[in-house]
Amino acid sequence: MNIALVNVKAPFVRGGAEYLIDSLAAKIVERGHRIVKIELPFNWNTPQNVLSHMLACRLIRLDPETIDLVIAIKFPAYYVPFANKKLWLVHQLRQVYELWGTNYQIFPSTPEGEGARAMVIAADNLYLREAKAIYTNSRIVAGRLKRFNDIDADGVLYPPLLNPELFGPGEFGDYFFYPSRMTTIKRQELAIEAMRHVRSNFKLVLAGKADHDAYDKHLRYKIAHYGLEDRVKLLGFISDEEKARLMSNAYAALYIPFDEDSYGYVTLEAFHSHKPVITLIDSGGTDEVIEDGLNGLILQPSAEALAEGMERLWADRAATRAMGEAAFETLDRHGIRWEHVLENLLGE
Amino acid sequence: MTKIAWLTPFSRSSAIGQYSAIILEKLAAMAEVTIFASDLEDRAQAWLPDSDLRLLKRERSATIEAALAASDVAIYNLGNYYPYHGIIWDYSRRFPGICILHDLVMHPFFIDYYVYNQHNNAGYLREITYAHGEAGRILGEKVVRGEIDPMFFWSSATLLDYSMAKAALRGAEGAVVHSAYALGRLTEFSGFPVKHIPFPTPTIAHHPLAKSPPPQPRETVKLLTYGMINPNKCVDQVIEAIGTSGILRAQISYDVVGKLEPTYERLLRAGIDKYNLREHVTLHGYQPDETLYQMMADADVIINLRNPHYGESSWSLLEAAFFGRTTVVWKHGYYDEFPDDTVVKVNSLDTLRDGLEKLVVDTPDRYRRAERLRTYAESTFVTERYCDELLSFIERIRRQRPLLGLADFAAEQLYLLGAANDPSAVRRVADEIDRLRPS
Repeated sequence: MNIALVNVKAPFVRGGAEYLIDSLAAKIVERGHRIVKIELPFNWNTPQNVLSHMLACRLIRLDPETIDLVIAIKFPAYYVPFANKKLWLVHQLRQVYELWGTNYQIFPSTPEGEGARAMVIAADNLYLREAKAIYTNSRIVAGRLKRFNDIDADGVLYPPLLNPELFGPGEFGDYFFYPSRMTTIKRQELAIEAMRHVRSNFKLVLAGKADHDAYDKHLRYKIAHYGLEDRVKLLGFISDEEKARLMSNAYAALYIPFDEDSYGYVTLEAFHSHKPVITLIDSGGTDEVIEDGLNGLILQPSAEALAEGMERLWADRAATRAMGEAAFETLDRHGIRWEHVLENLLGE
Repeated sequence: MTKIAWLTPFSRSSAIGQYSAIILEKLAAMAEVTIFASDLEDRAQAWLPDSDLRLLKRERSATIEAALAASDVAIYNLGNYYPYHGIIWDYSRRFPGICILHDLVMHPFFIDYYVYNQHNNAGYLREITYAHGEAGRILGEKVVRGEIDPMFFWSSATLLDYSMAKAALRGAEGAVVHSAYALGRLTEFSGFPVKHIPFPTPTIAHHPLAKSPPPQPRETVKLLTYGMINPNKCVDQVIEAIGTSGILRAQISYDVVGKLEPTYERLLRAGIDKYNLREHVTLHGYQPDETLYQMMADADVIINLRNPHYGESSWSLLEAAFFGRTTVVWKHGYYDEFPDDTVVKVNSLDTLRDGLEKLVVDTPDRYRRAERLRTYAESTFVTERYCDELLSFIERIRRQRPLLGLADFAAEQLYLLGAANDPSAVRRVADEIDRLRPS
């Protein structure tokens, strides 16, 4: 088949969705199909920009003579019209749905902002239904789709890692590891705040590229301000190999975003490395695979609770090691395999 | 709170200024309102001199434009009188907002604006062609060539046929009108939301005399007409109806209050003489407000005829209604929107005569109508409700801005691509934008 993977992306920003698309493309090619990746720039700085990009997607015409199947994963790329279109839905414009009324809202709370929000929701209601099938990457995304748009997903396809063989068990070092894109919604700042309350001598290692320099500077300021330079390391961007090495030798992992769509690749990377994962009760889809006390901890979203959770794991190395083994077994239990994903998306 | 820029005539000689003052006294508690007066050099002459008031004639346009840009919405009060509304219309075109259309006709405004003030016949022709196509252009050319006296329109039903409301409202985000009739007319062409909001409560409703009950039954039934007295007020027909009815001659007196158009006054006096009605009909000319109110309180029937009508919403009918005096109107336009059991509607000399005779003879019916008219007015024309509906409409207009912004953006791109005249491209884009419109 000739398959078009249609996606939108903010230039120079790379996150889980981009990783997912790249992984999917690689696996489809391994199956012997031809792939074209169509990436459209997306800028959501103003409501007018969002609406313009929505319109732009609707005006695209893909030729069914040369393309057999379109797979889209994100808003507003899934507006691109095509008869044989399937969605592996990772993102709607969350800021007009569950993030409306939170600090992450991007449209103003004015009639103009509400009007733009209504347009996005109306368009989702209309155009999502064009798809031949809608799979989501988590139960939480499927739940939102049902709650906000009254659309039943055709199933949940958990995204596997592209190269799980990179990750494996190592030593239990003296640091907790939190690799993720540096942005406010990932709450790296909360992890730094937690380290103020830690009395034991373990460390925190943060890695990932910042969306904006200002956030990176802000985190560095916080670390210096609290006098945590010896105990909190901010690595910035690191290679996959370096990430795998750091994960393998971490004591445990953190993944504490706010209301994340899915369990996140960090969780999978930790599980493949036989490490438990600490998450928070408001982190969203992480609780689809993380079970409190079995393969990680699910904590209250406060610096004190997070510090107490890390102290608890640190104090019982045997229990932490057992949780790491349980984490690895979780992968099989949930069938997080590429075969399953491709069978559904490609219909073969 | 919503920041509103309210552009209006606001001198104490302006009826629209008075209307604005009534609204703004209430609206100031519900929104952050800045008033921009179009007709004042001195704020002491304003209806609400202590309000947040700016004078369009005293400020540089750049500061006004900055203030309009900083507001959430601009409200433009548009009417026929160029000296009051010319500058308001200018700003309305530069900063689209909501236009409150006080005159449906607007033709005199455009003649004044372009032909008399700018000596720009082409501008006037462009506007009338926009509003009425080829027929408009032909009529407009007759006007600019002097073959038609523009003032001819004032006394002709043609005036309404060539309403310039479409040109006046070009580019508006929305429009407010005060009658269902005007709503219907604007809906014929408007691509923007139009809202009919019944008038607010007139100030006169709070006057002690307005609370007085209708006069007790007496030997003579008093009729009253007031306002600018011109042929449109049909006073000549009232005189003829009285003169040709034994019942009316025997039982009525008729007072006519207001400045008289000289030619028309001669006609009226001739009618009075013809029917020998000097004992029954009195032309008082202009009278001070308090005198007029006393006469309204003392009247049994107020005759508020307009024929032809020009799409106006009648403030004087509203005043008569709040006075609770039985009122006679011509059965068309705004006047026909009052319920049949509140006013007496006529459409000819014969029905006028019959209607007046019935009011004179059937005293209980006259009182019932008066009471129902007052009740209807008090429940319909409510300032607080006007403000609520206006704010609700403003919110609706603001919510549609992202969609309009998208349409503007797409139109600009089509133009830059040279595709603005390609019907299929425009249609495709327009259809997609239309589908993005929330239901």
